[in-house]
Amino acid sequence: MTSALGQGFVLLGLIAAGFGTAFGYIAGVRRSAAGLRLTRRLALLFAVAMVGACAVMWYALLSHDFSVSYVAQVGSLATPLHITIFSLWSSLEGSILFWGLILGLYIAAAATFQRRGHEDYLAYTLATLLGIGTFFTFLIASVADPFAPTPPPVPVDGPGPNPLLQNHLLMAIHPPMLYLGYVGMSVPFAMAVAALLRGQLGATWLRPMRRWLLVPTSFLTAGIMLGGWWSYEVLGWGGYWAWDPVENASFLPWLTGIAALHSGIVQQRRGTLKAWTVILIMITFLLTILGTFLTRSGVVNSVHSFTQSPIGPVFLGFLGLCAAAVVVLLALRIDTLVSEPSNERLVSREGAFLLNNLLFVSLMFTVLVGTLYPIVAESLRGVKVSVGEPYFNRMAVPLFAGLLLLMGVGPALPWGGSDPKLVRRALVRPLPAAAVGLVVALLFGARSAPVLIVSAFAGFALWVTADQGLRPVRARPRRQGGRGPLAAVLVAPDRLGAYVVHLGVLITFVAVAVSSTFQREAESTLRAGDTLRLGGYEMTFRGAERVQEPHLIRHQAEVEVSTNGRSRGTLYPSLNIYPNQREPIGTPAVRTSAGHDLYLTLMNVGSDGSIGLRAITTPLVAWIWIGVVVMVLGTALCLIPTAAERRATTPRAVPDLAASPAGGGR
Amino acid sequence: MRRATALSGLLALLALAAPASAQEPDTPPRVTLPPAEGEVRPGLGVETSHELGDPLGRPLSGEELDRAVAEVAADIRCPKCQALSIADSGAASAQAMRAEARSLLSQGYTREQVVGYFEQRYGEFVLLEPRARGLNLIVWAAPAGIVLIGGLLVALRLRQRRRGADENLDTYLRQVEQETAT
Amino acid sequence: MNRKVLLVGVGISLPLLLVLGFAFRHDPQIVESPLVGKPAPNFRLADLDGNIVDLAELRGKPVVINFWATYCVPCLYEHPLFMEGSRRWQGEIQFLGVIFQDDPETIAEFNTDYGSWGPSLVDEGGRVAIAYGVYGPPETFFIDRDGVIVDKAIGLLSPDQLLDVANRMLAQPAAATG
Repeated sequence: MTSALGQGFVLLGLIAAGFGTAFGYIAGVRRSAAGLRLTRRLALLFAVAMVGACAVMWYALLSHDFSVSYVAQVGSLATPLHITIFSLWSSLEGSILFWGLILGLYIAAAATFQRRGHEDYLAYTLATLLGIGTFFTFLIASVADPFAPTPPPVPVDGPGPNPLLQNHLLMAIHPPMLYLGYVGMSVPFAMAVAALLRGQLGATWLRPMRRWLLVPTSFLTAGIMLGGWWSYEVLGWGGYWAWDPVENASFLPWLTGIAALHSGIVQQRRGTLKAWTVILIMITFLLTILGTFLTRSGVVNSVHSFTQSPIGPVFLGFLGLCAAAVVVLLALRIDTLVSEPSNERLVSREGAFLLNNLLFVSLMFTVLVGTLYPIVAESLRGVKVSVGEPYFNRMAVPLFAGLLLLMGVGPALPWGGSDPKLVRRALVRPLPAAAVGLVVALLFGARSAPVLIVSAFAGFALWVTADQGLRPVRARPRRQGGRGPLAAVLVAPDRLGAYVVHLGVLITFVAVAVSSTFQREAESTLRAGDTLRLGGYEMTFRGAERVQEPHLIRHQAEVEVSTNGRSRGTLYPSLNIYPNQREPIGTPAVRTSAGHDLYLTLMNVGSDGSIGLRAITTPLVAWIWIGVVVMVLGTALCLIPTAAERRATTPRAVPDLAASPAGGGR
Repeated sequence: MRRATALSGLLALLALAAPASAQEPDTPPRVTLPPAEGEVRPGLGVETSHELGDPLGRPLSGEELDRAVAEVAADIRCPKCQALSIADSGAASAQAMRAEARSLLSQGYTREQVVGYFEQRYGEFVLLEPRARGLNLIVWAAPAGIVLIGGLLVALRLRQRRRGADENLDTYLRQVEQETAT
Repeated sequence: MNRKVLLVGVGISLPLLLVLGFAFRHDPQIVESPLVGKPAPNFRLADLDGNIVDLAELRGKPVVINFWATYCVPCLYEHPLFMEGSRRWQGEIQFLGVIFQDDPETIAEFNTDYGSWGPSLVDEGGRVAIAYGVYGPPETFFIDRDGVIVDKAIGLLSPDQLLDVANRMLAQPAAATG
């Protein structure tokens, strides 16, 4: 019964999406208002169907209806309520259903919020989005059907979700964030397709597109950060990023998404880079599909990947289809997007943006090649090879350092950059800040060249970021009777937002550089009463106990932490043993402070009561997460409409959107 | 052929053995680290010396040994985990491999010899950084190649577009001044 | 039609798709051992009762070495297969179990409950497992009369594979022994 209801909703979604795609394109070609209305209704119907299907699945999970195959696969009577709710996305079929839900919500949002100001493109945009929806509902209805009835006999209990996903609340937030990022990239993609089909790219395209690109990029940022945090808090190896293939897969669209956001600025200000922005958006979308394929097909070795399944080939087919459509569409229509004439110099704001794009795209290709090379090697050489952390660090660090430099130099440079005196002054003024960065690093004992260079660049960039970000506020008092600083900011919140994002990036950047350079660790076998020393900490092992919990057995060690004889509390690192799990899963105990983290992992428990304890101190880890939070807050600022946009949406004002086309920077 | 029929009967036995798998391991697998010097029972162990050859370096100890172990461990993939190195992983086999690296380095084998030993045993897969030779050169040359090609394209574009001076003030700032002045 | 875009687009996406397509031909979990065809590393290990087993002394007789542990589910599935195999080829093939990261006491208990098919060797420090490049239990190495590794199985060993390799090793003339 539940199965049939769920399958019914999916079928409804498939029909709505299929017809919506067809009607949308027809309405687009004919520029028919009635056709667009129908398409919008079908888009909303698709969203309703997806919400319904997910509601049915949640109901089945919560009522432990094991006659639904997905529930029989991931459900268990012993699993706590909140984990049952999250188990919707803990396994392959459910995660694709959840994907459908998010796509539905994005489509509904696009159909609702873009009703005005984007009419020229909306029919094509919705048609493209519904085309993607058609594929996903087809997937859910066929090879990845979570609602398939369980073949009899129906079990009375199930195994429960993967234990690794059970032991931290972050696992509840990380996947939805990542999906919101991944799926959201469909919207700018659909807009890019619409722009190519229309053969024009005006302000009514660019502004909504940037907003719809900003939102998923921000979700992706948060999702990637939460994944790293989860890895740090749960996996017990003391790190947050391992350059695992699936981590890389989420990183790829993030890189090109950010590149597109930046090239979009140039487009907005100078009316150039139109075709390039469209290409970047399309690559970003293709990379989300590629990433999903890598995660779900099981073709790469990864902690995150789901098991090998028939979904792989279907997804590859979809990726091929999308790639072919994109290439053909670009080849046919790209010449319709004509950039406005402008001159560009290397040492200018435009030049900095070009280099920014060059570095982001190079970084993306590097990560892509490194991630896929093992497949190439196996196919051509017949040998399995690994491309891992040492390689990626070696390659990515210089590129990141270049981006850091640009983050300082770029915003300081004037547009056009034709006045050498102006350019020189812009580059000289932040130099004292760079020197301060260098001195601070030296004072903290940094001696390696990369760290010193990064510190100097960071000092430079911090000064420029603060200077540029605060400029509207400082510019205000020059005129008498000006409004308050808030009003100055609200003229264009996106400008301040952008520099807040940069500030967050700087914080994270410095924290990553410092934490990876100054990590210290010690490891020892301890008997009760023994002490392990590391970086001023004394860690005394008091004893271990074995705790039996409903779905696991936990070995927990009591470790007293003190510095200079003063007690700093007690930490309880543990090893969890799940039935049917080969290796015990360690849960580290972390003591976080503003300066650094103390991280304890239990390596093993001996039958004589001794333990193997590993202690790691890492400076500034907390600032990595704080930096990301700042980035997300900055993004939120960027989403507040600018004064010009606010005027445009109030009927009384002169609609100046049309009057200031993409090249309205002069 | 007789054996084939007899063995195929084993499949039935396999099914019978299944309940054994439901046994819960309730003590974590214990890692047996190599016993300290002198505790080894004479003659026990595995012969590695004839495959490794003679030690080419000098025996390391103390902090120097710690550093060398950390360097080697960072480049070796933990066989049981996914993308982690044996330096990062807490898995039992990673601990054993670190101990082996420590023991070999303290005997005077060089870092290259130790890495080579792991590669010889586990295959190239165990190296987290592929060796720069043959087809692997793709992965080493690609990043530089991409930056070069991209840089060339940027340079071409700049050359095309450099035409006369164009003075442009920061129009945004002008806008702010106008907005806040009213 | 912009030819340049078409060429670059096809030039990048087609190889990429081909590479991804090729990926299906391989199981990411299986790593070929570089040791097949090479002499098996020699070891001297004690079993649970303290009896010493020296691989070199077994030269002239095919040897099957299984790395296993009680926490590993496929290993338990393999158990009856090795029980039957060691009975069938008693005196012809030597079956050796090497304990992979497990407690000797747990192994002893298991052997008492389910029977044992050969000596369970204690691998102090996991050094033999490293010398054999074991990724994780169960892994099975087949060593012919000359002490050369002729085959390796990763994961659950099938009766057919055991039979096939055993026959191959037994078919090798005993005279070749050095």
